Amino acid sequence: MTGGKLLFPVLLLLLSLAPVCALASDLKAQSSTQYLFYKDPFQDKTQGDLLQYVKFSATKIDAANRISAVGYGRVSKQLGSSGETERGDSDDVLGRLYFLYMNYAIPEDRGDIRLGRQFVAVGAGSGTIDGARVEVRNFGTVAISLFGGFDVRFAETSDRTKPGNCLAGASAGGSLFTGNNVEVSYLRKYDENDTVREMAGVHLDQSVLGKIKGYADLRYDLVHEAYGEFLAGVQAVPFSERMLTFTAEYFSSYPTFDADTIYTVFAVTRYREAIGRADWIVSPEWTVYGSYTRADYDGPTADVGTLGFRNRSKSVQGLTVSASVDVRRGYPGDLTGFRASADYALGKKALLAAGASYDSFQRDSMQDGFNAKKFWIGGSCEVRKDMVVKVRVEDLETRLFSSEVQGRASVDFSF
Amino acid sequence: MKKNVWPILALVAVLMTAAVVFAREDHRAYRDLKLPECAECHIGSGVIPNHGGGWQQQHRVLASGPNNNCYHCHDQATCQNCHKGGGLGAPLSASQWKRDIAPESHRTDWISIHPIQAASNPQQCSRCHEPRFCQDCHGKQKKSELTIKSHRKTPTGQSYIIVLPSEHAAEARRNLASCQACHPDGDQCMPCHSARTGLRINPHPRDFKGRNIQARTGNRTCNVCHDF
Repeated sequence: MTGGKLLFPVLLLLLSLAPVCALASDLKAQSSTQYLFYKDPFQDKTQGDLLQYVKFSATKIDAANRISAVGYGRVSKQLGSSGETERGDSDDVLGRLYFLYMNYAIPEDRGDIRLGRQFVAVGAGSGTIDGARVEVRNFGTVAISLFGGFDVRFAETSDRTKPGNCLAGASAGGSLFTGNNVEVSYLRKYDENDTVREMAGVHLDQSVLGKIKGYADLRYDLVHEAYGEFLAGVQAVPFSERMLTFTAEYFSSYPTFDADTIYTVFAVTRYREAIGRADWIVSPEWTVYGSYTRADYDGPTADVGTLGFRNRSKSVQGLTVSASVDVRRGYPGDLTGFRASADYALGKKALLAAGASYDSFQRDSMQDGFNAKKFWIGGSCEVRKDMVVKVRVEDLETRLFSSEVQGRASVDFSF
Repeated sequence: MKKNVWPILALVAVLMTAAVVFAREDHRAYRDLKLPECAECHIGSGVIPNHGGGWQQQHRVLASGPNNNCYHCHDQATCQNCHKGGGLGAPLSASQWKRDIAPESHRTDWISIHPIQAASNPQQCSRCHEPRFCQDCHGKQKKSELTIKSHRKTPTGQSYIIVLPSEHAAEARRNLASCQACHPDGDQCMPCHSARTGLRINPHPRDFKGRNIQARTGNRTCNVCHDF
């Protein structure tokens, strides 16, 4: 289904929710009208798109305020498109509906029943569905979630939802005793009515005295009878008066494919990594972090390090600065990257921001390395209480273009 | 089969009968605070802090749990803006890929750098992108512009370097999704790996669960290479 064709069901859903919204005595909405320009890498020409975003929430629909409705989506249109779709994009009006659902809140915060398009996530997997989800919580220690519906598959410019593409899942979890969480979950994905994914998830975590937390998370692929992902880790906060957190993790991943693609029958190898990380909230002004990762690709290896900080200046009111350095050596390429940005709030109504990035990299398939650079600047201003104007421009130096200028301007309303 | 059911029932029974309620703090009142301000309450609170430097990788496990409390501060737009490129309320620091807003993980010159990331954890890309997303871009790109290990550029495209079959096998096993990006139907695999014609090299893993695939998809997938 193309984005253009999507408009009809989107409008239908919106119309069906219109009476509900009309009953709402509290209706809040945000709108953003945006113009984006960028260099299309496949056509070597500057392209422009006009976008309209809308997000709303309608509450107090019924006397007990249990029913609510929320929605978020956009329509976009490429301006000046040649209509050449082999290398360019469609010049149709494209729609993308992120979510649009009605929610019934079960009394005493015991859970929710949702109908419509929504994002769903359980330990076994995640996705966007046109369907229903029931969440039950605060019954003793147990929380249960059940969902099912059409599987919404977003592509670059379109929405490929088809009849027969479905997603269903369930999870149950809770605390067995103090500081403990256990969850089991299940997810099944259909394509043209065939089961193409069947995953089970198990999660366990246990905190001890609020200082140490151990956790393990498993995604098991029932079609291939192999664990797709496994994560085990320990977090420690050794000092009670310091927000210094140490994390050690082991992660393993085995790439599996949907059962309806030929790639599902090929032999693959496991990827493994061990991570050590430290996060320190030094003060309300200073945050620093660093990590080291040893990655193993079933033979070749890589070492990856990150170091960064965020600072909200005490001396210059409204100034926030952040920077990070990333270094990677090994398979399948080397990278040394640096990022820095700063934003400065001019009172409560305006914000100026700027940043720079530098990435020196060489993939193992490249003859020579390359240094990519990016500089950006932006600002926002509250023109009226319900209206904000934002502008952002960036200039990139990439392997494809020595200067790739792109940006966006938006007018945002809230009402 | 019955042996498999009892442990699951036992686990569910334990969960259902557990008596103690450990209510989580309702954070809705603090949703507008800056992250470092959380420290004012959380120092000495006995709660392991989160939203730190590795939060992009870490949040998946917490956010997918049934007892997650993300909704106290976030609506689903937070998920969709990062996972699906939504741009309402995008921070000024966020860059863009055409009409979508790009997440922070997508570095400068992402077109050239993304193969490094895609090889690192093959599952990571699929958390946001359908396989078709790769094909949308790779299908538009001139094949002669791509730099691929075990392939050689030709004036019109790429040719596979057949003198290095072992390298091809190792690369494909490590990052099979990258093959799928340009060869979505696997046509180029068939001359060597089909069971019907050609070299008939078995591509299956040692403990291949072909029956499971057959049971779920009929013979739809198997029929590509086999006759039944």
